[in-house]
Amino acid sequence: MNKSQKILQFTALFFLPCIFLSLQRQNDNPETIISERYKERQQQLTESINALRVVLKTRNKKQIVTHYGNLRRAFKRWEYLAEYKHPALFREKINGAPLPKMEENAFGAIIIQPTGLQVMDEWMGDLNSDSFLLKMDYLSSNLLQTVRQIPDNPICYDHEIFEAGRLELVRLFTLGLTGFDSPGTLSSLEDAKTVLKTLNEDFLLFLNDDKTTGRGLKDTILTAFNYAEKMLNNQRDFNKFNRAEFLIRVINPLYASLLDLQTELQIPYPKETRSTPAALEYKARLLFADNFLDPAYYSGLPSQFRTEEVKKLGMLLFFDPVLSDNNQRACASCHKPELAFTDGQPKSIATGFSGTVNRNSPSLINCVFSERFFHDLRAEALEDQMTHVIADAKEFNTSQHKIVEKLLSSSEYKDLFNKAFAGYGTSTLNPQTISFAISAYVGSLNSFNSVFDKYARGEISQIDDNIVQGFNLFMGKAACGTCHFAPLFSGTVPPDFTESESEVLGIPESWPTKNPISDKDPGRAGGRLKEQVDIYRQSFKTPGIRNIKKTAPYMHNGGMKTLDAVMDFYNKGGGNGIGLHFSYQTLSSDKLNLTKKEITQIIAFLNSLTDCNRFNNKPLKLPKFSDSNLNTRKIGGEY
Amino acid sequence: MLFVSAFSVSLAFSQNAFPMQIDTQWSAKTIWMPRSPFNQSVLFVGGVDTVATTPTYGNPTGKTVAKQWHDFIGVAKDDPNSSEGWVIINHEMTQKNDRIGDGGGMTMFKLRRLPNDQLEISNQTLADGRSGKFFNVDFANTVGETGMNCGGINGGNRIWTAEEWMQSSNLSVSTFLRDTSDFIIGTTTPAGFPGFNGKKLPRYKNLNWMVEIDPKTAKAIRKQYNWGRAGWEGGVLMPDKKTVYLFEDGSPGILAKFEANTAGDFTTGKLYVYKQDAPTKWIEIENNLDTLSELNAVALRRGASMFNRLEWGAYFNGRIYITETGRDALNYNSGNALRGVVSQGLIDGYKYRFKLINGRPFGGTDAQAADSVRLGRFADYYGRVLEFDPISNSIRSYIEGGPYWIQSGSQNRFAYPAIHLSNPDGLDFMKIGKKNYMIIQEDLNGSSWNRMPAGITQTICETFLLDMDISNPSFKDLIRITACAPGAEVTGATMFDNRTMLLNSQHPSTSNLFPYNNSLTYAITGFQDIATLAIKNAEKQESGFSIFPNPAARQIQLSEAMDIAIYNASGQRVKVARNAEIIDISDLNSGIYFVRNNKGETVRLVVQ
Repeated sequence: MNKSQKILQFTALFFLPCIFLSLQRQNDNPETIISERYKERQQQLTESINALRVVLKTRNKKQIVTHYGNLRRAFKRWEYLAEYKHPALFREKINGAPLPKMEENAFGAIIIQPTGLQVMDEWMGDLNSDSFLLKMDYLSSNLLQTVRQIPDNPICYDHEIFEAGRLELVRLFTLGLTGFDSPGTLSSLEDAKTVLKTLNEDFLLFLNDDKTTGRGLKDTILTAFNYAEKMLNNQRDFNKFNRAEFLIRVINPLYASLLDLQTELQIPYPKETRSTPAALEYKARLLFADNFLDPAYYSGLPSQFRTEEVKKLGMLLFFDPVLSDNNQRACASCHKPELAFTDGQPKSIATGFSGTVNRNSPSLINCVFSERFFHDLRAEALEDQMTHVIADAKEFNTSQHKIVEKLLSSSEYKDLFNKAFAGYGTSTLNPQTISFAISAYVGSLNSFNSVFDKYARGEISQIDDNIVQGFNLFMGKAACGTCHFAPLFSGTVPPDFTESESEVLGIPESWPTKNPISDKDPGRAGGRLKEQVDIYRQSFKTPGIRNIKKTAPYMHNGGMKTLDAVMDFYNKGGGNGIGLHFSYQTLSSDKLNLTKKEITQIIAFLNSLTDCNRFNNKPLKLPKFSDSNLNTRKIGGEY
Repeated sequence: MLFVSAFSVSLAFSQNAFPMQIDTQWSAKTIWMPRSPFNQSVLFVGGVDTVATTPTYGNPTGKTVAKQWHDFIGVAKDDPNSSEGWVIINHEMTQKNDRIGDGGGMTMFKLRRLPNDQLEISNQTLADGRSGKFFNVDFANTVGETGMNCGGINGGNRIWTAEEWMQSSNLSVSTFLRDTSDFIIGTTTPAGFPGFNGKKLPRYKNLNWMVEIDPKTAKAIRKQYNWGRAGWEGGVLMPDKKTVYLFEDGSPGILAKFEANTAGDFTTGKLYVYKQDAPTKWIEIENNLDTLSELNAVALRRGASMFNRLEWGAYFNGRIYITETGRDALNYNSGNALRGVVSQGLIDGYKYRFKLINGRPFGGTDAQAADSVRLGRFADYYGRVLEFDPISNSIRSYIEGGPYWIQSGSQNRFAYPAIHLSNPDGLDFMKIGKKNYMIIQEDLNGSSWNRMPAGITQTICETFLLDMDISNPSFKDLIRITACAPGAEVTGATMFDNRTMLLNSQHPSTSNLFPYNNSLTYAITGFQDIATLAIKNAEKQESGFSIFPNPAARQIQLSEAMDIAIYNASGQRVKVARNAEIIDISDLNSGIYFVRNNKGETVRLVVQ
């Protein structure tokens, strides 16, 4: 008998009535009830996988469809808490994207074939394929094996329930309603119903306190759940579902009021229960709030250097061509503020004005919200990204060391570094502080204040209906939102926004054209040594599409001049859809069947994501050097 | 009293046990958390410090910024008891660099511990005229470029570096090597290798060897062609200065042994690979460059023992300890693996997990266990530390990672364990007072299963000490060393001398606080100044609400698992822990705090 059992026995003998009292209170507790529900939900999931496995043997397609539906419902009930508890297991084995991946932190380039519910869902969309039964048998057996190994009796703490619930709202809107996680059956609306019903029944347990009704929290929460139910019952067509309305009437009020409820109940926030940093700013109230993500998580900028002074110094450096070997090229040469920090060229002009660099200049607005940088994802952090530009013969053609030596010859720069990085150590001007400063500036170029953002936050209610329809298409029928994830509309993957994705679209050298030719750039397979594998050949980082109106021409090679060209390319099914051959294309080769009007609406939505004018400030002058030849250099460079 | 305690069971589950703000006016019992006995000093920062370079690719001798991705740390000394030595840092990366040389590389500096335990990096002028504090090790002009320098061998006054990440074509190396012409052995200085001079290797095959370097001149001496080309990660040089054990990071990976003909001369001798079911337990590999350059395939085809990613190792008290880091997707049922034999460590691990999960011992034979491993029935996501006995040539699992999830028969709700060993990687030994400790460093190769707590997607790697007096140790015996900055991935832990531990923070998360957002080498001193007990978990003497501070580990320990909240001096809640016995407070600044349990009892905590 262990110590706690001893105590319990002793206490039970003398204070039996007390124990009853306390057990009863304990059982009424939301944590206890939800922990118990978690167990039931996991058991139901196991049973539903077993049931599906039985009907698979009968080969009765109709029954298989029914039982697969049951499985999805069981899964969606279990999902919010289970995925919160086991994010990596979900990604790897339970509900990850149906694409081959590389093994993490392996000793060699090992490709893992996808498994889990999303792969099963793809097959459910292809019921008549020859290998359907075989594949479903294999995949359901894998899923069963994984689920069986997960303890079904975890403690679900109150703070976990709130974090998981709010995370599920993000997941539901970005991955569920877009069809991302039901690629074969597009059962998004049915799934959403189950998810919200589950959240409703669990959070109801926290709403009994009188305090919460006083502030109308209970009303807000229950109204939102009811509204969701109504919307989902009234519209069962995936293509027609009004996602904008759902965002404003359901997701927004729930995301905010669950936070309020947590505060009301004094349930701890994530920063109190763990010391690891998170990309999501937990206290943000809306998905489209400008503080939804925490730039500090991504930028790598030490907190003591997140100052106005450092940022200003970074801005000077950004526009100063003295960083390049020929004193003519600045960061701003390829990243011009008036073009949302692109340069309008298909590929940026190379040093010496002879030829071009290898790829199109990407926008820097919101670029900080990335796990990795460059079109081929080869750089780990903003400051790492800079070292590539500095060393490239076609760009700055110099070294960090030379830059430091040069800057040290300007007493004005020395002073600025001393002031900005006081307390850094013996030398305040070194490669690290240079990149801190530039990172601070680039990391501040964040935009969440476009017309569409204001609408999505409910700040304005009048907006061109084409924009709303365009958003609904983007997040639904046109499937754009399954790679350009809201609210960044980039490849940074929700709901935790810690991973950057790349895709093989099958990009031609140019489009539209009569005889398209495949672009030869190896993409990600030519980036990191550890990623030289076929699945990453011609795979490129999914960029953010905010401010896209200003960033033409498009794609890594600048091969598409207009948004019409881009939309036409996607509408036809990417490279494979226009007759090219890409073995590992990750974009569906099926046509999207978008009408001309629909394309116009999507473009209207894209154009409503413009918000870059407030970054048009440039330094009025650059610091002086003792070498007077340097003092004639042009702000922003000659390029 | 008991009435209160029984009633508190319910309060433990109540939402309002810990208000966000409390009144701190009244005084409470005070617990002092003294300053950490450890001192940390940063020695070498990648990407910031400059190294003196040799004339390379037509550039003259000069200076440039050091490479990053620090991994193994080599220490070479003329006299093992000296407080002065040469420190060599591996850079586990590939990059074109026209000063340091393409590929990966190493950085050397000379370190001295002063009588007051302060550490000093000496200014030096090397034989080739380079002067300064940091020097890159020249590979490009000596033995041909290197790459992905991960682990290595610390051999007293000699150091080898391991070239990881198996290269398979010149196309793949062309992204980081400007010169992809054939490499001819013996045409560079000093290089050359008895028996192989004049032989040509395609450039990519001049990688993935163990490479000896001279720490004092910061130049590579030779690629150790006679030890074979494989995914080497670590090795151990035995005290006889004749025998070297080599560990391959692969799955299946192999264990090899080289026996030199003459002590100290590793250019001639015999190479063997481990095969536990062979009469002598070793099979000899002929000294033929074609055979040697495909060592893993050759060894498996000849039935070698198969391991699940061997990493680093160290010699202690007549035995060799090797980390087997583990890999979830283990399957030895195809290709060359069909010919190999499943190693005893994996059989031990399979049986250990089987018993835990099923609540009964594995009933079959070792051969049946081996078959299960081969067929992929062993989700070996935790790994282990192996113990190898060089006398009997037997190997066994010394400590298994864990704890595994236990599904069946458990009445208690599953809570995340306080101590947890996943994917051991770095390994060395240290002595504190009279006690010997194994230093184990994790390198998580995933966060799935139970490797990270709920809601966390990043991986955090920890450093542990294990008391070598404990027989049949388990992960529960591990002592966590929080001084090793768990927020950064720490690797390379090695003892510079008996007072100083050297570590590398490698490819850290860029959101870590400065300076831990860089690859850097740092030292921890102070181990000798703490009582042995002080770093162990405090002995619990009282029940109820008592707090035991552990200044070395920067954690407070509670008398029993409970819910607590920590408030700052102004009464604001800053930390909440549920069902916890140990609470890490390494992130709390010094100051006054209040620790409150779910009965409302409060203790004042002064963090110094």
